[in-house]
Amino acid sequence: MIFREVEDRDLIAKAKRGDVEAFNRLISRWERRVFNYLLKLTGHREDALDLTQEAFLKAWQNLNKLDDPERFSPWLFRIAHNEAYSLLRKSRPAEELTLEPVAGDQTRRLFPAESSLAVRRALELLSPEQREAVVLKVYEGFKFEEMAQILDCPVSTVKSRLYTGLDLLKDALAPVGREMRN
Amino acid sequence: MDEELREYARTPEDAERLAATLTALRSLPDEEIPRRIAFVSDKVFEPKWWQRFPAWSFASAMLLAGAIVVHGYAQRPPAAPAPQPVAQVDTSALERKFEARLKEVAAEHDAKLRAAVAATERRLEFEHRAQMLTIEENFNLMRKQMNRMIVATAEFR
Repeated sequence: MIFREVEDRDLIAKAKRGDVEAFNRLISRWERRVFNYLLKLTGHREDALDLTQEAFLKAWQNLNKLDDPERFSPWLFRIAHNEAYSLLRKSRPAEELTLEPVAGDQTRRLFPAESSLAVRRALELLSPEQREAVVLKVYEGFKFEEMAQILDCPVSTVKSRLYTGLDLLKDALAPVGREMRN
Repeated sequence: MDEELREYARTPEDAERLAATLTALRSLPDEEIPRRIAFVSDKVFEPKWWQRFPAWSFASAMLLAGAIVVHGYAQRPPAAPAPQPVAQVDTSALERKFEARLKEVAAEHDAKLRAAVAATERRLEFEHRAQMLTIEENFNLMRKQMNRMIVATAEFR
């Protein structure tokens, strides 16, 4: 992990000097994470791919504004967040989602595809802000402080969104998780 | 479990439910990106050395032009000698001679013009008379043919 961070810093320094290939290597390291983050936010593969490309383009254009290379990942996700919300503001409001029981028959073992579907549907129940807080913490492993930087809000707000989201998810997903562990 | 999430799970039951929820959430696999993203270096679009030839030739031409200008400025020929004063000429006599010659030429020109106009008038008059004769002959011919048709019609009746 430390080795990777050092290499990222080196690549960022080269990219700042105009080395496109260094930036391409940086992209190859981060594109999958950024894409999956945006996919979970938008729920659309094509949108997520377009936003990923836009995010990296903005990152390239603004790389000189990144003062601390150690903060590259929150900075990059901040750009991705802005791109996603720019799209979400333009798109129509999401359709009303109906709450449905995720696993009706508790005795039956879920197939992996079913559990994935259950997780996706449970995430869709959250508001975009709650969902993003869950994604950044659970999937991307950011610290509260970094999440606050990405979301441009206080740490207390981050915690509030995350905890409310987890409260909602627990009801739907705790049985699924238990079944998966058994 | 994430250290920062421990404060959220205050009781063992909460912790168990959170752990189960996280297990379910993390079962969602990451998807592969459909297309890899890469930027193209500007170097790809840079012209090859031979593609820069027009620029080279333009620069060479500019250098050559500059060299010619500098050379021409540096190697200017010595100043031309001042013109010698010309002997005095009687301009009034020249003017009289010029006017006399001008009148002669104008008279010649008028005579030629009058002769040409007269010749043209004669030619046009001759052509006019010839055309009138032709028209008269054609008219007489038509009248004869008309008379012949009238006679023929009367005999037929």
